[in-house]
Amino acid sequence: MKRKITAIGIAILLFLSSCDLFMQQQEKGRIYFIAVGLGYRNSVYNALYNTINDYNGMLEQMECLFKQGGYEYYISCYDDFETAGQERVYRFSAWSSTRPEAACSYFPGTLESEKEKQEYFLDTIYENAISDTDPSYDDTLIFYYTGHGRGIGDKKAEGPVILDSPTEDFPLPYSIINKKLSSRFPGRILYIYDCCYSGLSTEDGELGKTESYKWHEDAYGNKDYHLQPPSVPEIIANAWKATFSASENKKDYVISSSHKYQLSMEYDDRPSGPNQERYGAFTYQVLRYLGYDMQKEKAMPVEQGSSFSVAGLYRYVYDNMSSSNRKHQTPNILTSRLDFEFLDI
Amino acid sequence: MKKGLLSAVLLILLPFSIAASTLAYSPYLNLAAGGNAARLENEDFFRSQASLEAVIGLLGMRVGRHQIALPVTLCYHTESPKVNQLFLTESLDIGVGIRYGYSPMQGYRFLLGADFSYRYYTRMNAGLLLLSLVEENFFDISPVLSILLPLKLSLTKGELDFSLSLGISLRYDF
Repeated sequence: MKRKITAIGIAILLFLSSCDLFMQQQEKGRIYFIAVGLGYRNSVYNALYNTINDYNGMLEQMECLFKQGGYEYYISCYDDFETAGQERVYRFSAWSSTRPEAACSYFPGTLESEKEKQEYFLDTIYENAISDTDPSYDDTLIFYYTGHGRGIGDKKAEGPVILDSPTEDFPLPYSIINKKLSSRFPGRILYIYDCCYSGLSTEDGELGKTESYKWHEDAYGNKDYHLQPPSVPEIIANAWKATFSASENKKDYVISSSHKYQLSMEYDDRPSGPNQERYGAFTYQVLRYLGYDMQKEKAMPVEQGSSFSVAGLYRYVYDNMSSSNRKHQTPNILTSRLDFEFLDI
Repeated sequence: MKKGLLSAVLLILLPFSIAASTLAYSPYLNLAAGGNAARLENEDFFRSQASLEAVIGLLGMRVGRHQIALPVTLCYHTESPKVNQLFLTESLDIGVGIRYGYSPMQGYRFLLGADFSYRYYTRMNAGLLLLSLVEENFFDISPVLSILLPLKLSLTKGELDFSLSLGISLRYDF
């Protein structure tokens, strides 16, 4: 009997260790980072004062991590932020590990329709990122957006709002962003959206969500969509729907700053960290996860051997956002059951 | 007429009265650790995870060599190794099951059954439903303690899992 049990024990140990033991670690692929940040000052929209800090922080920290991790990286961005002593600009810029000087370009001014502007914007920002490389399956694209977002039922379409001049803007629906980028880029893509109603980009995932929400009306008659303790029947219904739906394992991952019916706040209403009031409630936690020094507001290298995954990022942001803020701004995720390590330092 | 009716009633109750004499309330607790191999759609290899499993069979009965139970199952899976930057995260299965068991010889018995579970991916706040077929082997060390060897085959959307564990089982017949 003892021999049998020992043999069974050894068989289990072998079984445990055999599955991934012989899988070889792949070399690091290239990393492409696209960042879009808008402040809307002097435009028809209400100005956002913290998006500039979110955008600059993300650019600095990401580049710092790319360098520390030894990545071949390419950065492409678009913003409307004023630089010291210059006019407000609506500017594309791009640089890379091999070409550190930024190359800048602007909207041509001859584009009339929304469709033309959408295509020009996405083509330019993508091609600036890709540069003269030929992306492969092992490469990673990270797309970050901070600015205004439109929700369900908006006449101008759902998704980010892009300004191309103080008076001109056009919508950029999530479906168009996904279609353009996902169809062209062969590797995995992580989208990070910090804007109102951005949960629209996390619909129809492979897994059933566990959060429950309800309409909430405060004493002043303001209506909001609040996170509430999970309801077991709802969790099982969501899991049932996801288990038997056709949604498949996708190569794209999305983390949104809020649910599809929620706003995203310019800052957390219960600050608990340094300079928290100067950053978006969501991006502040993203930056902390990535190791940005919030005290000095400076990019910092992380401990060697650190890695960053999509679900790890989501979990960190979700857990660290103040509970009162998370109630009316709940981060959402679109993922397969396989988590994706987008940075390995 | 009355005699006939009485005889019929006695005849119907006879198996139950025999069963009642050997029937025992038999709760049990299984604790096991092992490995889980997950085969995902669109992947040409298995991903391995370590797993810890607890089966709480508070609703368990034994009639002679036969056993039936409606247990609650809990199973925790660790993170899988990374391959091509992708990996399975930690997950927790919570489910209910049904078991039928038989003891063909002294010192050995087995249970066969199925579990219906909810798998919660802890980092993602999300889950899927899972159907499992279970075979549990018990090698008795004493009337209360047994060495346990459970095998489990689980099916969910786009994924087939096979797990093999080793543990102990505690059982007490009242």
